[in-house]
Amino acid sequence: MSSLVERDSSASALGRALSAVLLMVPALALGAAVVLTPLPVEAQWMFGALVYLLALCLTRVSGRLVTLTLIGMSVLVSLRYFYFRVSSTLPQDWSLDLILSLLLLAAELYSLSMLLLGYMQTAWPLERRSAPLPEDTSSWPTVDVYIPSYNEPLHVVAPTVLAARALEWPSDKLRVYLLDDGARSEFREFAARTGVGYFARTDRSHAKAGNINAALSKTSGKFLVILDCDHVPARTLLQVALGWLVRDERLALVQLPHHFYSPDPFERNLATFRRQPNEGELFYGLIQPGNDLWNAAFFCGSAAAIRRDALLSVGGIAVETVTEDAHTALRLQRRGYHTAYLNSRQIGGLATESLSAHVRQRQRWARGMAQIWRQDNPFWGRGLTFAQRLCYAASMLYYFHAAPRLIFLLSPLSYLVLGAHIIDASPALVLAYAVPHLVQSTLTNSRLQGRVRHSFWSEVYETSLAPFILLPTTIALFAPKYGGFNVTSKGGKVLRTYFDRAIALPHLVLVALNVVGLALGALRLVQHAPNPDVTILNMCWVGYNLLMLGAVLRAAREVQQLRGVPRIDVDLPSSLRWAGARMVAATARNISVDGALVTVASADDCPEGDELHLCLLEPRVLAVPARVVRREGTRIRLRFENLSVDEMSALVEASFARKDLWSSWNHGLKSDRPWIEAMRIALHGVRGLGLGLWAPFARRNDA
Amino acid sequence: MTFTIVVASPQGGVGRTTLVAQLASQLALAGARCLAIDLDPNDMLSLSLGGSPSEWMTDSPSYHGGLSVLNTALGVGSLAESLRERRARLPHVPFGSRFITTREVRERLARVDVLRERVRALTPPNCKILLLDTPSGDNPYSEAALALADIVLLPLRADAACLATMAAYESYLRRVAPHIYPRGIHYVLSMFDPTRQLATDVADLLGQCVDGTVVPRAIHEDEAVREQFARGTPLSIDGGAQAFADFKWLASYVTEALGRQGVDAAAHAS
Repeated sequence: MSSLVERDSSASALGRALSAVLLMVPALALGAAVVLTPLPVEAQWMFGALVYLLALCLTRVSGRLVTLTLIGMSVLVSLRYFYFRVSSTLPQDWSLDLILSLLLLAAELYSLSMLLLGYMQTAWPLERRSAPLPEDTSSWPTVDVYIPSYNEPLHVVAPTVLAARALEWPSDKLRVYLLDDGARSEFREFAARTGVGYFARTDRSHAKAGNINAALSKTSGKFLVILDCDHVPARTLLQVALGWLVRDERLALVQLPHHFYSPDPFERNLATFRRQPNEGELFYGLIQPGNDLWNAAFFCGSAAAIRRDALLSVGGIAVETVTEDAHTALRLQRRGYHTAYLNSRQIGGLATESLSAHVRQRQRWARGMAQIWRQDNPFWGRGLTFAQRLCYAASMLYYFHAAPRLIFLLSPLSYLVLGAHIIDASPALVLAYAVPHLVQSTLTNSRLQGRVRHSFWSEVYETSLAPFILLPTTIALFAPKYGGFNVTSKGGKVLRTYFDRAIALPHLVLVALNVVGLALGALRLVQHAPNPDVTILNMCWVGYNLLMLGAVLRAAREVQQLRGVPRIDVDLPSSLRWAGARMVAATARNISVDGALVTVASADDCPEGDELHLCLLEPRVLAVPARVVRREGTRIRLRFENLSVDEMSALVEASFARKDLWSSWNHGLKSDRPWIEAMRIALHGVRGLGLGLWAPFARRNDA
Repeated sequence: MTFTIVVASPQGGVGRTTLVAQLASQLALAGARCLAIDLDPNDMLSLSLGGSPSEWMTDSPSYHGGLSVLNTALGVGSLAESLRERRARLPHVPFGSRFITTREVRERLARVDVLRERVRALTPPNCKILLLDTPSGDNPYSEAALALADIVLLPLRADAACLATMAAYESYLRRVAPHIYPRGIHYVLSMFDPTRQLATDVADLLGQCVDGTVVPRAIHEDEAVREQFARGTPLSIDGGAQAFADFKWLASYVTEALGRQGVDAAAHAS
């Protein structure tokens, strides 16, 4: 049970129930009145405007109650729209118009459900704090750290292993294991040099889940911590994560956020890195804390601590679906275990390096969630509370957004191209109901999510994925066992900037269709066809769609990225030391296991090719042999060669594994301003459309 | 209120005088009114502050006749004159050339109570920070200085002998400077070569072996310091060398430590 929810005595519980009922009846009546009363056009606009102004005033006030009020207002306005839509806009007779209208309605109802579920999930996030461990360290439990790997290069995995060794925990109670599904000798040697455990598998059954399950039988720690091979932990990870697990026997899982210090494809290609929250922030920053309130936080595959006994009791990591992490958490919960989410960034990893890699990863998640929906649906079966069912359902149903999104992208064409009238009401009236619905939900979501997701970006993300997850989710729904497991690649390079036509193709097709619709609409206007207001409305909708698609096209232009080796930005006082005791003061700007970038006051006497030592002054003294490979003004690039394990370990500790390294990551972010975001996305859209026009002539990918 | 910083150490050749000179220079740059007094009969402070060797070696009357620890017969007025003369090299009082006094005079001076009086007489009332350079080891000059200290900076070389000598020296400190032991004793690694394993090992172990505070950053061994001494260039020029960055850092560290000490002293007094 979440720690915030108390148990009352039965008497006062009854009293509260009664008063709740007494309040609810008039509230429901009032709500029904608001939703069901039809109004003429001007009155409806007035109503919408009043609600909007009231909401604007309320946004100036902070506080949970105000947020709930805003949610209530948004729900009422949206329900009002839907009642109008269902009762007054559907074509009367059975025809193509009706079918298309029902399709659009189905898509809209999907959006409404996701909106309502989203409100429920995010209205009251549980801001869980880390629980302290007991004073007596001899009572601390044994922990195994698993680092599964398959085909990632060693320079990606090495910092993770070294940082895991350096985790602050009694050394006799910590064991690190490298789980190598590729059975590579290089990794075996590295494990031997660094003194960590090594397990290899030659059969790759069930991929990562199988890898972990195989290791479970060979290790014995009371808790296990799973780290993706590129997720470098801060030294404080165990002390932060294990407090709650030690206190609560029924707690099976503590999940921490996946933090990425490299830009994801959207951030890199649209140049928004560190300027606005990235795509993962919504989930890790708001949805999981929201799930946590209802005891529905789920496992995300890495950066989590799991109770071994609990995991064994559900038969290890689930292997039936490709999102084995969420499925395992669901099983644990059915068994009566609790889960927890701690929003403390303790690991830093690499984001997917290109839009196609991102899409592949999400395809796997979408497929897996559809598989779970089909095979282990949260609404059926025992062991879950109603709130948990809703939360899991929300997370799974999210991945079914492909069909609705495509319907939205193509709907205006039903009038412009096919001449079908799918909305049987005047555009002015429709707008009078629809605009408040859209505006209120945007405003309310900005209030709820503004810190972790800026307005309108959800549409961009969904649009980018929709064509690709339509098929996987549909197939998984009907034939869940079909298809294999593709691993997300990490640590790749983009050799030259290029436009990824393969990934952009479906969007280019959609753009083309929409442009055709636009042209036909213009033709109608020019020919003074009837219902110009309907034409204009649909053309505006097409314009909006084109801008969204354009933004996705822009994100498909992969910006050059030559960093294969994970590199972390730092700001450390350091020094360059030559053999004759000449030392120059410097500042280290970024560090990786194979090199570093430093800046000096004047680089006059630092010729390229010089061999020297890079000395870090904080937190510990460290001198690493290096060579100057490039000098640009006051920036000097160094390369390390043949480092000992201790030297590499010390570098990792000074850079990746520092305590509180990520805690101020988001401090410079601007807050959400919906109008500004809309304009920004529109600008991306325009540039993307330009790219799309140029696409047939674009340079091929050389990578 | 004058804060007194004493630079002392059991080892010889660790760079005490250089430290005093550099610190005085950095503190003066930061705007503090400071005065450095050389209590080491080797009389190297003046040179370290950028004097030319020829001055030191000859019997120049303006130099040797001026105010020094050995020769304080001239009184307070001449301190001001003397300091003005030496302005280019920062306000300081050299120990004085051994060549112009007799042995009896020196022996009479080499007593703790006499030295304390001498230092007090030499310190002008508006001096904010007083830096005292001392000879190495156990001797009356160090003892006098330590008795007056608000803070002791203890440079040491990170070599095999240093940890062994520290224990004995700490009991010496406990005896002669009980009013600031152990929190006012700050160990600073000097002439530090981070590429040597022994040096980094000693640095790691030092905190566990001593009662006092270990200054978090070392003063690195840097040829730039030797070059500057050899050329006699003024100390305020920063060529980007690490050692000068270290001295600058140390100056702010010391200022902060003195501030804390002042707060403690005020709390103690009230």
